[in-house]
Amino acid sequence: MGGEKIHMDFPVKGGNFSEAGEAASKIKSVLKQIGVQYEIIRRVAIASYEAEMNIVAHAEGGQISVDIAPEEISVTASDKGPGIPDIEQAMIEGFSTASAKIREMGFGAGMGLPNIKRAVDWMNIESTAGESTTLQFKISLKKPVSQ
Amino acid sequence: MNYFHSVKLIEEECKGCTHCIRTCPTEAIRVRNGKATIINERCIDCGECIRTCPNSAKIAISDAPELSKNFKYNIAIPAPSFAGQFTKKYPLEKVLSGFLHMGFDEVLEVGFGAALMARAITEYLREQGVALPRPVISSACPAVVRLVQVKFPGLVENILPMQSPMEMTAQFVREHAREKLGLKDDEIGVFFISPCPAKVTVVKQPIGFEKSSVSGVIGIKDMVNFIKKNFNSIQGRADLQKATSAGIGWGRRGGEVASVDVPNKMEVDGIHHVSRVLEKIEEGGFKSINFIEAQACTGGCVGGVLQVENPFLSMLKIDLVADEIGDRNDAFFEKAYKEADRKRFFLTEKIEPRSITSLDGDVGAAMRKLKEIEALHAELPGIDCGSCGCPTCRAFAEDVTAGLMMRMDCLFDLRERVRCLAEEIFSLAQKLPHAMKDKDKGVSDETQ
Repeated sequence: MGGEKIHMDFPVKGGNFSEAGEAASKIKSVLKQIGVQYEIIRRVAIASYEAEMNIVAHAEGGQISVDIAPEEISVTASDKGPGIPDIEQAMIEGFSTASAKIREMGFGAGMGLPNIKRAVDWMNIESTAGESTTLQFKISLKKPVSQ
Repeated sequence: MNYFHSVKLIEEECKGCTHCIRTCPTEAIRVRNGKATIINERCIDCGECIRTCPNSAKIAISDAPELSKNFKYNIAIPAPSFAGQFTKKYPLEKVLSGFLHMGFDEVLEVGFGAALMARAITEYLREQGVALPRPVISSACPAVVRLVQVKFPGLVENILPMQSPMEMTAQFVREHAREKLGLKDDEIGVFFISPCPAKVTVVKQPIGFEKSSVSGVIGIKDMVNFIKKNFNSIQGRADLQKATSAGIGWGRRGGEVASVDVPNKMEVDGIHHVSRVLEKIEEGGFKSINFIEAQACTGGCVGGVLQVENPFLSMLKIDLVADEIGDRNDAFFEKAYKEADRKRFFLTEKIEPRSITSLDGDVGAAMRKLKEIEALHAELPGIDCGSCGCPTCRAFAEDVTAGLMMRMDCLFDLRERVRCLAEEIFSLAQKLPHAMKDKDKGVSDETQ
């Protein structure tokens, strides 16, 4: 495959809901140009969007880094913020620590991490309470995995 | 594949001004050699460039009314939005009689078919329930359907796999003419009176079924002019207005949503707004919405480029007509719906994606091209001035990488090179030959 690789970084501002979703949108358009299957693009788009929204909704700010190889896309969303004290609990559908203000805006339904988990082939979360969170996920670009 | 298009350019009128390249939702236009050119695979016939062109160089071709001479029996089926084109002075029943005055044998409003579809869609959505990909996107606007095919190929499965009101109405009148009058199919001419060029295209190249029951498409403005001019000599007939108030409502924004009876539905109009909603759906949004009415034109079909009346006034007019109709045609509709063959409501073929976004069939090669594009894009001014004839700097970078443009076609780049060249010429000009050097004045380049 010639070992082609594409790397992209997107800064994400915390609390900035009006610009939220731009990283996910850019990743999506790149995958469309590369000619990745629609079903896979959809999964990457959903997972990236949720990861981006998590930074916007919970953290002061962070970054989304993307590495694309012909076989696989790997995304790292890292932020400085409150961290996730109990990751297992955060993975439960409907569990949310979002403020009332964020819920009023239609976010914070407690579906972010569960939605990411459903969409990706592999994910890992590392977090230090009160400091930072790093979420990583990978999706194979080869063929859709039956869900 | 060679795609037919109803949106065309009149070269002599085009000044190469670049207005159209910026508003095209699929970046289908480039200015080359001083004239706009439309890229066939990208154009969705939405008519946005027709609206934008200050020189009227973009037109929508439709069929001439004379085409009806090829048929023994002709039926006019005016779009629901047709009812919004006339002021109070022109009552709808007499307006519809204008088609008979023009030589058509029969007329039936597409608003009739719209009501059939509204009921059929309601039943389908309720039956299928959670089995459908959410949200379901209406298939009524052909420009939106093609937008999905070329720019949002992953969403073709969200498009409602059902016929348009135009096609339903055409099938209905055709069958009626065959059965009641004993006519053969090729003796019957069915003419859609259309608000937009996208309908002209979809009749020539149907999406999701093989052959349209419509024989030709005539622009609404042609008919409105004829009817207004001949209004005093038209014999009004009271039995021609058959569309229900709900069906007429499909001529304007919100009409579909109002008549499809399911919870959680939304409407979006204007092709750029539609694009933004489709982007969000791709990112997993709008999952709780059951049905989306999406229309390429602002205000819905009343905003089509083949209309004459102001779209906002048209909306009001449609509401007034719908109120006046009330429930007087409901019995006719109920009978027709009961007798209709349910299979007819559905498309017979899958809607296929027609992606324009992929750079190369091979992922590795596409990635190489993408890197080239990204690298070039980073060097460009990024102000999307359009002087190169491409809609954006990004599109320019793509065209250069594809070998369609040269790097120097960017005016900024060219100017920078001219500046460098000028500096070099200037510095060379200062290097005087020894014979010209003046020792006392000391103005040779070495001393400066």
